[in-house]
Amino acid sequence: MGPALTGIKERFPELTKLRAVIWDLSETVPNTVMPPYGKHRILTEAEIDAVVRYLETR
Amino acid sequence: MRWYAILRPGRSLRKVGRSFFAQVSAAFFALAATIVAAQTTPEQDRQSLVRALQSRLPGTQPIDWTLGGDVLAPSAGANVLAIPFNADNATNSADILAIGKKYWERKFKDGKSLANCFPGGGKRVAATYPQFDAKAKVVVTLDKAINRCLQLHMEAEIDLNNVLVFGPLSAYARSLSDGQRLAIRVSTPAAKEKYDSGKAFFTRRIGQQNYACASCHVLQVGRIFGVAEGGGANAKPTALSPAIGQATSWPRLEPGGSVRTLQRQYQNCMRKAGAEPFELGSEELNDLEYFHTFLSNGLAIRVLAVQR
Repeated sequence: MGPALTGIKERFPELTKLRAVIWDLSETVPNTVMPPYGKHRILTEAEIDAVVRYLETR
Repeated sequence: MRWYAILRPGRSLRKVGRSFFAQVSAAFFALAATIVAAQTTPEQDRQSLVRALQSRLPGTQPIDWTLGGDVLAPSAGANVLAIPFNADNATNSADILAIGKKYWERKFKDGKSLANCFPGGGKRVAATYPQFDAKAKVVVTLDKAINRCLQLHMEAEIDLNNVLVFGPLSAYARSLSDGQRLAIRVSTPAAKEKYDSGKAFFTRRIGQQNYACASCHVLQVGRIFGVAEGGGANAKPTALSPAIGQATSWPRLEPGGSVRTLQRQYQNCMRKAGAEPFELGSEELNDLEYFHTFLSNGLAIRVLAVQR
């Protein structure tokens, strides 16, 4: 359902913003269907950091 | 904003440490949404949803939507595309209906039967369920009406979780209305309250994944939901079906030949959202069924379609 995982660096020059999207996108996009991975503790803090590091390479 | 796009936060299964402010603002938005909801009629809701779905599924009509998501997005694997009317399950369907017919016609101790509880022996009644019972102020689904009949005649009620009985029974009861157009009535303010309660459920986010019904079946309709039920070896991607048209085709045949009722599907959806499902026959699911079935008004019932 989501967009392609490309050009992450261009789309998110600030990694804190990318992290915030993964944490809880509904804060900024109320109708999103992306699960709030941080807020609902689907992933741990460390796991989210790891995902951010991975996405950075895409 | 349109009613179906006002998704409200719900209680999560897990403690998420929401601040007092967040709780107050959530309560405010819930109230605001209730006020917005109260201003539109059910028919206006339905029509605005038709337009929303058509804009997302160009060139389709509500009657197409009864066939489910995969028909609208063949790229999903086209797994069940060619069998909308149980063509390859005729024997299985016939068996299931025969079992249901036995339950339907079984004589009670007082000599009556379920068939006697419904006008015309049950012919063409399913198209009017769920109904609002003005006296008890509750939504009565067809399943509930069946249990009320048993109660009235001093027979043991059937556990809604007993799918081996309720699956065939519900299939047979609804088959007596096969081809009839759904005609759910919401004709009094008290009935509208129950409709609005179902509508609020439809747009309320639930569970760890934070999905509302409308997330998938309106806002993301036709797109591919990658996680198949239960995952595992049989996992297949599924195109999300439109909210309108879904209520026509229950119970359904699952690929393994078992029967799935509408409320059981609600429970599946809730599990996918990471939420503990409400009980079958609960007020929550009955209200949801009332609202959700109203959305399919005008579309024909067909039982034991193949699950997709």
